[in-house]
Amino acid sequence: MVFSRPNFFLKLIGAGQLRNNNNQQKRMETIPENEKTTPATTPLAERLAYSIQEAADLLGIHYYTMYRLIQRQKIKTCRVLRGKLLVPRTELVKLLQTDLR
Amino acid sequence: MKYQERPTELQESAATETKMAFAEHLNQFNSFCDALHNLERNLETTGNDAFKAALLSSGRVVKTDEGAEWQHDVDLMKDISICHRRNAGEMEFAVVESVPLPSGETKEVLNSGHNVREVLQTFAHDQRQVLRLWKDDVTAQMREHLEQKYPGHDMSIVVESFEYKMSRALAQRPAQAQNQSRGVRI
Repeated sequence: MVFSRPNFFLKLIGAGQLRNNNNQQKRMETIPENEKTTPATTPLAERLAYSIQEAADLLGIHYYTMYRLIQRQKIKTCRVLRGKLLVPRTELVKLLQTDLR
Repeated sequence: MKYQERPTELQESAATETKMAFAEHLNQFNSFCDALHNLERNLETTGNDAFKAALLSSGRVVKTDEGAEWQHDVDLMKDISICHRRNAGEMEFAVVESVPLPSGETKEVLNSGHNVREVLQTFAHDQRQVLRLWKDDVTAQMREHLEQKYPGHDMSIVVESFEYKMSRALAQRPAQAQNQSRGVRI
């Protein structure tokens, strides 16, 4: 299953559809068996966290703006093993719901 | 010393491949560093321009999310401008950022003050921190990329070369940039 348009992910995130277990179950049923389990093939919209580039694409902003938002602590991030920054999906939802206020 | 070690052929080709994979990040990073250096070099001039613009008053109102109204003076970077307002007869300056989110454009004051030069200095200092954050994240991504592509091989010299280049781009002004390179040629 290929999701290619950032707006599609945004709709999913913004509408909170990902938190709906029923919908998720239905979507899982449409995913081919070989794509269901490995993290590498987990669809972007179903991930718990995103890289800076992915998060910026989802929001439709430049990744430099993402770094600026992180520096101003408008978005909380976590660091994985090598020090790479990850933006939790919940932070993107929060940002969309509250903007920057 | 690690930097004086001669990179292996594999490390050289890994560096070339990484440079291509991260070309956009590296180019953009250099452009933003140049923009920051220009801002720092022309701080006085930009401050004067903003002050003159404030006296002439463009009439272009910028309303922030808190409801405060500022008047646009000079653009500093994409989506970032310096604005002013009169507060009890005194001129107050602010760096205002617009973020075009899907839920609507937001406008926020990054920093403000009565001295336009100090406002610009604080802004430049913050941008330097943002670029450091960017550099650390990109080098971490490179490390991850190289570990996945070349498992079992020590590619630390490659990452360190990029890290060094980015640190130098951030630290040095374009006029002072030197042509020397260390480690892997990138």
